[in-house]
Amino acid sequence: MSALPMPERDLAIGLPAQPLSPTRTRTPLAMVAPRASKRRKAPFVLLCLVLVVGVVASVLAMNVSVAQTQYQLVEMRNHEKDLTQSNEAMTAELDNKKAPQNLAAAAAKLSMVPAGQPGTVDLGSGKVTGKADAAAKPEKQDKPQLSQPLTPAEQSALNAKKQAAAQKSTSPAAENTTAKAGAAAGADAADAATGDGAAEGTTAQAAEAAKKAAERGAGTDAAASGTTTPRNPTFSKKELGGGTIPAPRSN
Amino acid sequence: MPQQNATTRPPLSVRRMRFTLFAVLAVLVLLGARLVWVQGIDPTDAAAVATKNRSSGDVAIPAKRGQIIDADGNVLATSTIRYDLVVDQRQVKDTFRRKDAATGKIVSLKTEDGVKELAQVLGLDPQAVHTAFFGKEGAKKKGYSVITKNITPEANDKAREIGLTWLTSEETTQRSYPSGKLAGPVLGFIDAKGKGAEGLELSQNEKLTGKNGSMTYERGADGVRIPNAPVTEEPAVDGQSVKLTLDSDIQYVAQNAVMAKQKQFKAKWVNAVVMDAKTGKLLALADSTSMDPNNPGATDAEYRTSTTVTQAFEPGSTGKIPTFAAALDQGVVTPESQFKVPNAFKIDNETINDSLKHSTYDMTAAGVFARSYNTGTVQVGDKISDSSRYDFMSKLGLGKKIDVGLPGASPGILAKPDDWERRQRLTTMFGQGYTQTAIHTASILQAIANKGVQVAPTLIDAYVDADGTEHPVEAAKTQRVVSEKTSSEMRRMMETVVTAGTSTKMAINGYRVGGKSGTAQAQGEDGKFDQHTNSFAGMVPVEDPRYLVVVTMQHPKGYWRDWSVGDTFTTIMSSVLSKYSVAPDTTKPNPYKAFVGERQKYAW
Repeated sequence: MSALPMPERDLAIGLPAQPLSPTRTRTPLAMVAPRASKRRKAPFVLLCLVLVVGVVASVLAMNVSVAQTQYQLVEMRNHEKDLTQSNEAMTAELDNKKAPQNLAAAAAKLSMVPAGQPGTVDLGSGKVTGKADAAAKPEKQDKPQLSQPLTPAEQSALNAKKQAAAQKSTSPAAENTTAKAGAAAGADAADAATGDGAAEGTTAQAAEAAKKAAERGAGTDAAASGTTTPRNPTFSKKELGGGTIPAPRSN
Repeated sequence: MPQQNATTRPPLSVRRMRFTLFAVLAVLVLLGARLVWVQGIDPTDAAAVATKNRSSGDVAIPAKRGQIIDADGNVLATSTIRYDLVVDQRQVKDTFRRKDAATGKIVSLKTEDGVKELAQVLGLDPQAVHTAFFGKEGAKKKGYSVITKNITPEANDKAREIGLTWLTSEETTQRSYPSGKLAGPVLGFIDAKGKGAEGLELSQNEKLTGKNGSMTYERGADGVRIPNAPVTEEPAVDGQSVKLTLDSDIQYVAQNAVMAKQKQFKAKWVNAVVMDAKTGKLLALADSTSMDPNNPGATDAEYRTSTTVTQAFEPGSTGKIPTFAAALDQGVVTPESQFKVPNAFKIDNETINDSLKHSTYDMTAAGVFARSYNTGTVQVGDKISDSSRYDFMSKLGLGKKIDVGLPGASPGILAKPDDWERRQRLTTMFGQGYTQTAIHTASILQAIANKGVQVAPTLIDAYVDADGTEHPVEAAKTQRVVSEKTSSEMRRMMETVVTAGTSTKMAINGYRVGGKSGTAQAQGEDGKFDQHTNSFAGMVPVEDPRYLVVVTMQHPKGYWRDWSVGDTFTTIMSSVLSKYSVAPDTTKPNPYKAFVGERQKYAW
């Protein structure tokens, strides 16, 4: 380069070349240091990440809430079913106790006797018609002819016994032949127990056996134990249908 | 930057980026095309298939069968929830897992042990349960194997708690009759499918069975119900309950009493009909052999229905009621008309005999009725024409079925007067030569008791919806059969029967009783006419009757003069009067004179 720089620019555009004045100096060219970061991309990426996470989280939350409510619904339906069933069991017990045969037997147990002949008081005139007899214990306590119906527990025990007898007679197990005869006789005795005027022995026996069977297993006292707390429902594979919660039914 | 040279390839990183970009774009284009296809070009088909996959299909909502209740609302028949336990044998594995109650941890147990526990809890034979659960040795595994049927919900809970997940509980209903044999033949029973098979369960089946509902909802592939998806639901209409006119307490007393009577005379059967005299409502239909609807198979088919409506018999002397009533109503005879009553009477070349040899008496018509002399009765009956007597009997309901809602009702047999042969026209005057049921007797008595107005017997009072709304049945048909005067005279004659006639055992302390007894010749099982039917039909209080009781005993054994259903009648009637607080009569009995003249005491 010459001592006095010639502005190449002026030459290029056809201006008369003039040397730069000595007072005007050219800024010396220097390398511009590159910036530490080119552009601020972090907020955008962050935004994307947040969006994605947010969407996934909200979808998850919705599903969880739906599943939870569904589970709650199923639990409540089961609770309702529990209450209906315990109500039914208690009503069945009550109806059984209300049966006239059972009332009569309960009265006899309390040593109650039929009333004597009543008199009638005419409230208008104050006259008493008819001779009022005191209730007297009848000399010959007639045993009622009509047999008492089985209690619900006895009925289901009898049901189980009958099924056991039927199953035994169909399954060809050699060691059960003697048991088979016994079970069949037991079932017959239980049948005869529902007949009237059956010898007191068999009736009491069968009722005893039925009561024992009832206590052992089938059909006792969720009703007698009072309120039932909702228990964790367990579902069969069929009800779940491959999922985790069964579809709630209208009934 | 290095100078671009057209011949050198772009670097690997750039090529990779471009390739990825093109791949993604291609997939997007494909998806876009499919979207356009599904949404725009072929929307209905794909959507329909999807809906079908989601939809659960029609799920039936079972309707509950109605109850049968008595007049006071006591439940006589009801349906209860029961469960059948079934298992898919193909799914069963050797071990299963459940939460141990003691430790709270999940433990793995052998299925065999679980099955043993199941049998113990249910009270069943362990071997049978094992076979049902695992299948027979070498046999094909069944997809549906029944372990047990009709267990209670409590038993079902216990079974489920064992934790065998392949066990399915199927909900079912069982019909239960809480009062056992009480009114058993009237109630009937249902068959295995839940349809009425006999009695009221059969005749009222349509009203008792409701209408099943249906529900469709949408569920995902995992079985979870889709919320907010459309659900169509048609609610089930539960069956109506049938409210009867029966009174359980009276039914109990009546059943007890007829059973005792049947034992006493070793009769084939004894039945009783208790009716409200003013309304015709049946308070009791009692049979000596009653079926327990909980176990119908234990009783003979003959006694699975009520003999009060199904068994027809020749009524005998209670059949004198239509004869005398017709004669009185027509005015050809009064209760005090006089007759010469021998013990054998010849008429139309036929000899009519009385059961006991007695001397010839001068008696009133009331006396003939009270002592139930056939010889006197044919003299009374001969005064009216056969056709008018037949018309009257037909009007009373003889020869026609009385429909109270029980199936199998017998109409009895009443031949037309033209078909009456010479003897039959006479025997029909005193209750032989035609047949009727116990409920016919009750209905005829009711007409006389209710001042001559017969009200058709009713058993069903109302139908009750599931929500409690009662729909009473339409009012019973009424018809006047005799005048009030005739009714009053007949009732006074019936009082004479109890005070001075054949039924002195039927008196009830404090009340005025009126009635008519009957001992008829009956055909036995072997076809010979060597059996008898003994009955009594009575009303209390006789001046203004409120209740009537008819007791009929079929084929009693022993000496005929011992036979009496008096105590059965008084037991049942006393309990009715007591329960409904019928005040004792303040007036004294007012019978007719049985014999002409002052003397009334004569030998039998």
